[in-house]
Parts: sequence; C-alpha cells; structure tokens
Amino acid sequence: MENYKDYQTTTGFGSPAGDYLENRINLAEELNLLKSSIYPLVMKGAAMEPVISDGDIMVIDRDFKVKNSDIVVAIVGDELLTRIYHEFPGHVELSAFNEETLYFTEPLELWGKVVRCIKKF
Amino acid sequence: MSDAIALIDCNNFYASSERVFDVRLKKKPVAVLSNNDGCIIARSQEVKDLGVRMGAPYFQCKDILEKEDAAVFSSNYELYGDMSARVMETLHSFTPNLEVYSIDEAFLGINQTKKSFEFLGREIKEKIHKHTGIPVGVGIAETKTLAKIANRIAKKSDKAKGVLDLFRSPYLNVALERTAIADVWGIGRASTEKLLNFNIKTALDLKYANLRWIKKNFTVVGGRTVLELNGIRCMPLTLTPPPKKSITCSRSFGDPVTDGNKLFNAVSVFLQSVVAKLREHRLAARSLTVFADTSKFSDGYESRSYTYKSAYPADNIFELQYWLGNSFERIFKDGLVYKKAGVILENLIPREGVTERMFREERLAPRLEKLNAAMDEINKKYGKNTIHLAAASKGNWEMKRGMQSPCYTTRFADMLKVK
Repeated sequence: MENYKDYQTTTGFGSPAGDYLENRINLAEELNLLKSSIYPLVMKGAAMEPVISDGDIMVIDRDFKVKNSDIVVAIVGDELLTRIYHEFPGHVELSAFNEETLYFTEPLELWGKVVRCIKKF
Repeated sequence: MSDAIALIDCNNFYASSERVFDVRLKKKPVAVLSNNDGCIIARSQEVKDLGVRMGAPYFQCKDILEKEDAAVFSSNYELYGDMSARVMETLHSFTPNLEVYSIDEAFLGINQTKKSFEFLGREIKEKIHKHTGIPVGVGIAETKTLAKIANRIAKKSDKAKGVLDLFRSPYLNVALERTAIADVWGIGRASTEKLLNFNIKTALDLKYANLRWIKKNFTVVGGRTVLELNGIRCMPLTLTPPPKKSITCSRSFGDPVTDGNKLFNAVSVFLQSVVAKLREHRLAARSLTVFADTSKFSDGYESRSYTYKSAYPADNIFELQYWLGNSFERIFKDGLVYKKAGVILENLIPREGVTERMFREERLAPRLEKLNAAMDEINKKYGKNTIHLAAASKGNWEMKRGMQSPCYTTRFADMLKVK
C-alpha cells in the first residue's frame, strides 16, 4: 500500500503533520476482537429482528458470566440459538422477538455471550 | 526456578475441536483422519471404546464407523492450529513460564500460593474449557516426567476428574506402581522390552532401580528418567523454542503421479508452503532439497533427490523457485510412478544476516521482497495458495481432504451460522 502519510511532498518539504502522525483507529485492536475467547458468528434468520438481523456479524465472547437480559448463544438440543437470557427461581427462559419463548428446568449450556453486533445498513 | 511443573494436555484434541463448533457431534462418535484420509489420527472416547486403534487405516474401520453412525472428518489443520493457539494463549494468562510441547500439550512452571495446586489445576481446566470449549487433563508434580504420569492418571481416573496433583503427595508411589513401564515418558518400545526382562515392570520399579546400572544400559537419557521419577528435575522448561534447523513440506499423493509437469506442479506448491514458513520465521536458506519417491509397497522402490547448495542465502519465492526448477530437472526420471514428494530447506540463517543476494541488481531485490510480502498478506487472510506462482497451480494430485469441516475461526466465509 502506498504511504500517503509519512512522505516528502514534491516540493521537498515534509508534511506539517509529520510530528503528529498516529495510526488509524484499528477496531479489531481497540475492541479486543482477536482475544483468544472471542469468536465471530453470523446470524441467520429473523428471530432477533430488529436488534440482530439476518446476516449480521456477532462477536461472541466465551469468557463471560451470564446476567439477566444478556443476549447469548445457547446450545438447545442439536442447535445453537441466539436468544435473550432470563433466569428465574427454578427455571431459565430463552426468548426472542420473533420466536416462541423456551423454558428450561434442566441446566442449560451456553456457548457464549453476544458482546458486539456488526450490522450493515 | 519454579516450585512445580504442570502438564496440560487436551483430550482427543482434533475430535474435541470439531465438537466445539458442531453441537450435533456431542453425542456422536467422532474420528479424524490423517492426510489423504489414510489413517485415524484422532478419536473421541466413543470411537476408542469401539476398539478402533490410533493410526488404524481408515478403510479397515470404515464399516464399523458407519454402523455406529460416527462422524468422520478429514483433518482441518487450519482450525486445529488456531484452537491450539487459543489454548496456549489461555495458559499464558496464568504464567509466562510456558513451554509449548506439541499442538495440544504444554508444560507450565508454577509456584506455591495460598491456594493448593489442585485448586490451580481446576482453575486452568475450567478456564480453558470456558474460552475454547476444549476439555483438558492437568497433572502436577516436581518434574516433567512425574507431571506426565500425574496427567495420565488424571485422565483415566474417575475420581481425579481430570486434575491430579502429585507434588509431595503421600500417594506418589501408589501412582507410580499403577503406571506401567511402557507408559513412562522417555521409555520406548526397545527399552520397555529390555526393562521387562530385568523385572522392572512399573514406574515404581524404575524409580528404585540402580542408577548406575540404568545409566550403563540405557544411557544418560535413561538415567535422567530415573532421577526425574525421584523428583530431581533434569529437564527444565525450555521457554524459547530452539531455532529451526530445517523446514520441510512433503505429501503422499492421493493418485500416483507419472507426468513430469504434474510432479513439478506438486513440488512447487510444497515450496510455497516452506517459503511461507521460512519468511514467517524471518529466516533465509542456503540449501534446498527436492525429492520424489515411488511406492514403498511396490517393486523397484526408488527415492530420487537432489540438494541445491548456494553461497547466497535466499528468502523469497522467486529465488527459491529458481533453485527448485534447477534441482527438479536433475531428479525427474520419466517412466516412474511417484507416490510421494517433498521439499526441504536447510542451512537456515536469520534473514538479517544476509548480505550477498543472488539477484544483485539494486532495484530487483527490494521489488521481489515487496511482491513476496504482499503475497504473504493475501494468503494469510484468504487461505494459503490464494495467490501463488503459476507453477504452483492446483492439480489433482492433491491429498484427499473431502470431509474437512469449515475453517470456522480462520476463514471469513466459513464463520459459524446460528439462528
């Protein structure tokens, strides 16, 4: 890639910004997206519309302690589902905006928590 | 020097990696095959229970695996390599005193704190499972050899539940007695036979064997094993991996190759792979060997090879492809049926040490370097061999990897889709 930042202009002088140069914001770095516990997953379907849409890239962190109202990816039977987590005395509920709420009295295995969602407009 | 050593070892690593991303596999038997889908290289516990042995040829086990509805995969090294890195990074968060021993094993140097070693072992096991989904076994003791023994029992014993601390344990000798001599680290098949002949059958027997006699009959290596079994550390943690001495890429062909162009195509692809590694380690090579073998199982087995040695070290694909072309002409013999080929780079030196280059033209060397660097970036992002020299185009000699799972964590297009 050509370097248009730290150069000598054709007049022979350096850029006046020369002493103040900083790197562009690197989102992957700033948001810690390459951590060993982070995995990018893609949402399929409209279960969580309009909060998470079909095709959105979800950043999942497996390193988390679940809290009420967290959006999680849970292992339900043979599938992974993106749902909102609610814990009650004696049972857990996984709800979605466009799907039936699921109830669990047995311990539920969570794959990870959705920490960021990259939408396209 | 740390107080104790922990050995962390992933359970059925490749099979476990597959299970993280495909939840249907949780209850199914899972097996992973070697290059060319030839042999079994990983088995979930269910597959082990079926009696399928490690390294067994796939065609021999196909029927029983199908009957039990097992999931069988071609190896997905792109995935396993990344999962391994995640496991090691997680371990690193406990201590930088980490020696990565293999793709799924590592030694940690640990120090005593208020919490017990067993507590630490459990923390490690749980954190790795949280971050990566991979189940591991943890063994802790004074030495690497004892840690290995602890680890093995940790995995097999229901009581231990995956973590066993034998550091200054009153149960140490009991554990050693339960460990067959063949299962002691450093004791190979020949040594096992020899020791059994002298009635040394368990790790406990070896611990109390006469050290001088062992050194005499099993060299200093055997002596070290005895000392380690006695809690005397002879094998320290090696933190900086030793510099690479050679880089090899070789493959057996799915379908044997007779055509010269096809064979050249294959070795050119192998060269891409070794050069990528060479450059990643910032090394340059002074010799290149190319070899091609006919089938070991047929008459007239022939292994043809040639080593190109240069006074000028090379570190980019263009220079090395030139060496390859030169060498290939000398080894290719028409009429032979080639089953395997490979490329080896040796006499490696750090690239900073390179003063004289083959292409001495001032402008050419930096341009070739820039071009190669650009190729490296593209291949890292989109998959190896996305961009390559024309000589290294895909051919159908490639190893069969038809049952490979998606590269869930390294390829954008392969990201896991969830509802």
